[in-house]
Amino acid sequence: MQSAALLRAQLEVSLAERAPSAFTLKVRQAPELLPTGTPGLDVLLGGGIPRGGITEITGTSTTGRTSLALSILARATGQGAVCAWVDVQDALDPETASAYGVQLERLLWLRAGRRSIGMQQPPPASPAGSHNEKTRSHPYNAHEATQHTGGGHPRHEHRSMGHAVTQLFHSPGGTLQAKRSGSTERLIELAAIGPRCAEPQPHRRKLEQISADRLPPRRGQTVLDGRANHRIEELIPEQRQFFSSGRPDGKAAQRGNPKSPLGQALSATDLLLQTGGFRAIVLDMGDVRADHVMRTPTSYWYRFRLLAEQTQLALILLTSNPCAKSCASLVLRCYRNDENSPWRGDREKALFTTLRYAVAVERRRNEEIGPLHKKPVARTTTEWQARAPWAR
Amino acid sequence: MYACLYIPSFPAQAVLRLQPDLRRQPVVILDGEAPRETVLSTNMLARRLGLMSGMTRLQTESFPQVHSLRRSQTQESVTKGALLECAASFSPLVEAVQTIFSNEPGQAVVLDIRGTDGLFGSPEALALKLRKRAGAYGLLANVATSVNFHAATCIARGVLGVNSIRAGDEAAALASLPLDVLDLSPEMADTFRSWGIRNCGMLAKLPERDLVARVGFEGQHLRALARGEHPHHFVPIEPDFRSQLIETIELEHPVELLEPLLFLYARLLDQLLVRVQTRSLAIASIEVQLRLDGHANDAQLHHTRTIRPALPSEDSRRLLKLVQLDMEAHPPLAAVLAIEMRIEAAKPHTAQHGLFLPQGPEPDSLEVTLARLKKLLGEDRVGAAQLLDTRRDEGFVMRRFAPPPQRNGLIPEVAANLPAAFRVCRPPLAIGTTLHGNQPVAVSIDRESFDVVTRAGPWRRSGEWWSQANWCREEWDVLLSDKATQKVCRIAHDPSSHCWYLVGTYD
Repeated sequence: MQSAALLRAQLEVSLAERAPSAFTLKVRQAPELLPTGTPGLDVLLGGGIPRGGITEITGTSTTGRTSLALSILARATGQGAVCAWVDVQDALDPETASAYGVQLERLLWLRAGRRSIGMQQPPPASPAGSHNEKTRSHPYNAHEATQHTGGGHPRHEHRSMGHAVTQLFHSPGGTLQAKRSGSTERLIELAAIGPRCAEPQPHRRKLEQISADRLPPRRGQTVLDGRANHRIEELIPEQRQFFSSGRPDGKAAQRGNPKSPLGQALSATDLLLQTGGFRAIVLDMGDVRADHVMRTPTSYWYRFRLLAEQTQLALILLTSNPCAKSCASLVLRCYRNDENSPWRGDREKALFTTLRYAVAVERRRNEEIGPLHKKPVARTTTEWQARAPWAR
Repeated sequence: MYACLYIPSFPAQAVLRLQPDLRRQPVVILDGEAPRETVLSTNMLARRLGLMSGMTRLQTESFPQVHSLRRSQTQESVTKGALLECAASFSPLVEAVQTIFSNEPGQAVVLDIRGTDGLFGSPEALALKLRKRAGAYGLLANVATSVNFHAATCIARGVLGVNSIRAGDEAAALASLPLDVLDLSPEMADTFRSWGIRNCGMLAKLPERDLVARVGFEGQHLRALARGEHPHHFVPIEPDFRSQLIETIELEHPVELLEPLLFLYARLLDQLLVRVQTRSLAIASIEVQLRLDGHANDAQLHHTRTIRPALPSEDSRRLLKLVQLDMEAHPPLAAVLAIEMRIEAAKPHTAQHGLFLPQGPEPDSLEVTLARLKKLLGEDRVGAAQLLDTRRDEGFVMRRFAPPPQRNGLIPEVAANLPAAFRVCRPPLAIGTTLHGNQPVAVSIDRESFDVVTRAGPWRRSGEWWSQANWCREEWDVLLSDKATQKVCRIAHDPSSHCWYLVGTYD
């Protein structure tokens, strides 16, 4: 035994330049934790999500993924740390984030994908009946709509009144000023300005049908449900841009051909991880189809895990299905608890008030376990609820 | 006590200052209207080949290895400003001296260095430091110190390197110098040449009365200069340091690619950084102005970009990276003929980080990262959101991301009831809706049909009716369900255009 130990020590010394402590088991330090802001989940996780690793928050729509991520960021920015939100589909609502307590000046928001329409742009929609045969025009015109039952929503109270009054009296295009100046043309113009029409729905071109068995297999195809199993050719252009580059990193993209939103988001996340100094980075892929996310090369997640470990930040992935595989330190599955209705009041005057969520821990890698023993993880669940802003 | 900082062959040095690769080659500077251009200035290597001022272009072209460059008065002006700034960093009393009749035009700056012993040591030590500083500015200078203003100037013109003349030794130091150092007129030079007077020592020995009788009081003036006895009334100037922080370079040929320009940006930036660092300052902003080729319209003749780092920086690599990323994002519309870089100086950023404060990104690294992200995603897609006082959707603007300083980490209280987060659909997605009794009962979103299980609404919203941007719509909170999933969404109806669209999803 002594000779074996001696031999081992000699080998370790000779290999020290290439691999320090080659035969010594590395003692894993317990990671620092970032509280989630939901007491039940913090208790379940032993304090929060781990820093220096990847945490996946998965689930379908209305399962509390975004709420959970915002709650984590609210705690982090509240402590004075700097965080980032990488938005693949530009879905973050800053108003909601502010309601959660996220300090927006400490949150770097990266909006990949489509260009924003800006707050002055009209809401797009197709002309009535052009999109769907069942679509019908609303029976109320603008005048009748003001007579409709149902008043203003509680969430819209006492906002921008000061600005409205100022604009009313001082704006060059204000109605009163036009009346005062006697500009009939201006009044006619004001009356004639139509509502902002919606964006027309892009025309879908029918292409040749190819049977599914003739298509090459794709990574992540097994997680597709039947509803989402479209072919690329059938997608509308906005969806098709996820395939615009051969790889999500956009290496196959030609000059002048921008990267896909997912590729942009991954590159942006990479840059942020290399910069360091952030407490948490949320990569929001919540609305991206599962097969697109699954097609991301695994090397991305390995690199992200390594960089997160070096910079001691919590990388949070919001996805519909787990995608980081073994690179994820923690995987949380979100559900919606259907036992209680989120609606209050009768059918005629219902009010959306509360959403109840459940979170299950699917996998944890940073538990206090022995160096050579793998402890089976039991599925554990906790519940929490989120209220609508007007119901608090 | 005076110190004279003299730059020989000033037009050539002004051009070659930012082109170090040409310094090791014979270069002549041409001036005048084509094709009757003549040599204005030469560097040392060209003079060794026999080239001199006044030669024609045709004569210079007989030397195949000689580089002929055009005179740049802009670069001369900028270099003169840098020279004054260099001198002013040693003494607040500075006077510029212009040579008038010399064949080889130079630029001299004289400093009054009385009382600077405590700061820079003896006059010899100061002269060495002054020459070294000028070298850092890209200028090869002669420096002479003397108690006589004109003696220092003449010795700096005639003797290479550093010379310190003790009081009373001026005449001896000037004796061996040619008469050219006195900057005498061509007529006087011809007269003295006909008399056999070749140097200052011979002129100094001429009897004063006889000299005045033959050539007038100009002869007396020149004799006093040659003896190192001519008095001078010092008229100091006050060079404005901040307005002089400009570097410019004119290109021989139009350049279209960014990569060659980056080398020039780096030279200009390094030179400016040296200048601000001598004052213990850093660069707060960089303005790059490119003069473009092929545009008659004045508005398009220049391409100007301003880069403002988050904090004043002395890191030339990061500053250059910011310039590069900005130029890649906003390239000029035509080939570049000249580059002018102007900077603003400020005190370097100093910060005391607390041991127990959360660490944020390094400001310099963050600035470069933000520039990269803007290039990747778009100018308006990176930043921090700032909410506006409006009821309209998208009631926010994107601001530049500049996180406030870290403060002591106080754990915020856990809210008893968390608000329901909302995921916005940007732009709002047009949907098909089936109504029953004026209420939506089924919704078709992107060719997928959902039944409306529960609904709340309509909640009517409108605003800005006083302006053209008026808007109005009715919103519904609906629980949508299909075979597999359920989700709570907000849909809206525009009563004027009769359009239904998906605003977003609660999550």
